[in-house]
Amino acid sequence: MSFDAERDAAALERLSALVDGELDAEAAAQACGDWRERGEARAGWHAYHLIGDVLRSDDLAVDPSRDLVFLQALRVRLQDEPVVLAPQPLPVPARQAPAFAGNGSTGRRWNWIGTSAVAAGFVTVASVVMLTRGPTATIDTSPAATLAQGAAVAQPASLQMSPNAAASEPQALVANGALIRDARLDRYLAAHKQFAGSTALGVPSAFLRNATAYQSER
Amino acid sequence: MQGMLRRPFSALAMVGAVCLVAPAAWAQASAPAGDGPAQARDVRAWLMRIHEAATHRNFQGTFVVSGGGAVSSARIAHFCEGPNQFERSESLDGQARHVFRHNDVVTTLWPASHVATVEQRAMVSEFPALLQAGDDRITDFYDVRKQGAERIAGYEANVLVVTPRDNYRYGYRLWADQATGLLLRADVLGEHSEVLETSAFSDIAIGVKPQPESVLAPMKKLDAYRVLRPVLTPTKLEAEGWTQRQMAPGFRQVSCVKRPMDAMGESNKANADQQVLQTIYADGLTYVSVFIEPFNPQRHTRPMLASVGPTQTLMQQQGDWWITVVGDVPAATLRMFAKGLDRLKK
Amino acid sequence: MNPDVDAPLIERVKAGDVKAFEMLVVKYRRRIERLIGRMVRDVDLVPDIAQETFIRAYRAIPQFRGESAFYTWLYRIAVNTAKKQLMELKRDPLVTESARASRDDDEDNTSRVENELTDGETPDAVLASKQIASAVNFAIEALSDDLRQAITLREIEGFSYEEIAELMNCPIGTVRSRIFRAREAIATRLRPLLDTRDGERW
Repeated sequence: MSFDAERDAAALERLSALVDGELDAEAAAQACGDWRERGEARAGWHAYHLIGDVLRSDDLAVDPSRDLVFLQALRVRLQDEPVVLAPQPLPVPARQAPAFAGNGSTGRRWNWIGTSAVAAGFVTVASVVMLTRGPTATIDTSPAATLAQGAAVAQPASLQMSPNAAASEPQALVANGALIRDARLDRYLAAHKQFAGSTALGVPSAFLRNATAYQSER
Repeated sequence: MQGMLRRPFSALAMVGAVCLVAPAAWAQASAPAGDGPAQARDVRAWLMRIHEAATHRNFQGTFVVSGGGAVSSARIAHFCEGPNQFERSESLDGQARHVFRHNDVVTTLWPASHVATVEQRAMVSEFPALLQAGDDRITDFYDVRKQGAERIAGYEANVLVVTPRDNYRYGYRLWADQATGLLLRADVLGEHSEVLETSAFSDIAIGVKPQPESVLAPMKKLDAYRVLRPVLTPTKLEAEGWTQRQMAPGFRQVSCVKRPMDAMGESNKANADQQVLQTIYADGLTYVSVFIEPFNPQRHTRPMLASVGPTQTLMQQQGDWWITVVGDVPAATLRMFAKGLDRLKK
Repeated sequence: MNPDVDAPLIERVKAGDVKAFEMLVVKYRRRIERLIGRMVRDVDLVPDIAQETFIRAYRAIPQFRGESAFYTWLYRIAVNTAKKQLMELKRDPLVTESARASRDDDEDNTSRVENELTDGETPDAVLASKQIASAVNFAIEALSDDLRQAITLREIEGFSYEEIAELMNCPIGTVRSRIFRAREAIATRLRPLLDTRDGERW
């Protein structure tokens, strides 16, 4: 059907751009979604890379069915691995970093608060949507970010505090491809930090980091 | 006995502890022998001095934490009057949050939602005991050495580099005020000496006039707030039917409690479903928490390893239970705790 | 130095998207196996070491901070994994001498390697390889100049879209479109040779 063919063509073009790393986070999320959903997309991604490899070096023109066998075996192993999450900062408007009252003389200016993205304050975490990875569950990582299961509450564009923040099952928010926080995760962090802090010397980073945890609860 | 958390650089103070500073240690350390590997007793002395400064000095300033891709800051103050300790912290980012501590009672206020929690912090007192008893565990697992001096926030500081002797823990770089020993900055260093997190005073005044009322008054005035008092019940791991058969080298159990896990203790009932068992282990400098709760397929959908700055969290199922291990340690350490946890046979 | 082309995918993996990691596997499996094949003589070991490499990379992704290109980082993991495997084999008395042998003294890793018949490759497989290589080369020749130039500048010279736009004096959108159409044209010729053409088995 022509609708499918059009969608596939658009998906393939996005994937082609992703091969070259020329996609922004939102489009990348969409492209990854296409790869997950559409066989044509998966075949295209595979073919484009094979083409590039072969153009550069004849000895990579190996039997491509081995690619499939390999991936299927790896998938089985990946399913046993805990999903790794390393949240990235959300792009928030830059704010002035706190001024450093360096003493006049040899006062060194710190610039360990690096880019403007990092220099901003915390983002309030609204109630969130859990990443699931069962055989039937799919993750829709389009900017609208609504789960197939219908538990959607996330509004990535403007993070509103859901009235049910405390009551509903907190889950992980994926917005623009960046994981913000998992409120449930934060509870464990908060409980851990209550006792532990960062080191016995009492680095209080722990309780400051909890700022986001508590925000998500309230 | 003192609670621990959320105090700048003062993890394990003890109520009634008289200030005993070992200033001679610094003098010795900055003698001609200077930088380089240190004797275990020198290391104890340095660390003890840092700890004492945090518990007995009066100071206030702006504290900033940067790591895991985020930055947060707060105005904090600490006062010590005789056997009493007072602390307050006001968040400067995000939602307003005020934390007040008087000895081992901690009151946290969220003005926006008019919620307050009042908690009695159970003691996790490992640190001073370790050092005072001449326990060399810290030096068994960490190499601590002086590395020159730097100026920071207007104060001259000695730099201490703490290097782990194995891959089960992180390293640190510490800046301690030369005059008082107060920790002014601490970097948590990862496996390749990359900075995982920096915590530091961007400005600080040491030796301010103590103002205990600025802490006590807000702790008493709670009429505008809905007050929650979560209950933590001390227990024994074996009594709950578990044993930590194996743990990462150097760690020892320092606490075991049952606590509510839903919405920050809103349910004050000791409802078994909503209770989680938390056991804490320490190696002298850092901690690992192991949480155990009944498996609930609605909440516990799949195993996860999350990494935020220096903090790793591992979550996975074990039979009818759900295990969460958290710590400012490499993931391998968490895995070791998870693997070494066993249900006791009846 | 151009930003890492894998950066968008890495960010997706860090956000918990495991499928994005699979996409990286599809991309790099051939190169990684070729690398491992140069270090380990027993071809049967290669896929296992490659699997192990990708699993280790997956676990270590939170620690990957983009200081080097992803492929450089992955390359190092592959080398370490292969070396570790070789060490373990040396200790195992049941392993045969030939399996233990490594190719440390052989040709340098960066040069092109001629097609050679190794123990694991059947004549059919070699033929399939040659067919693919010639299909690609034939298809490239058949492209219009614009499309051929665009894909050559990208895949062989490694220029970014922006640089290609400058060189070809056209908008970036046109570069993206030409590269896509070049790929599709070549892929069309390839599809009969790839029995996973409909992608459903992936």
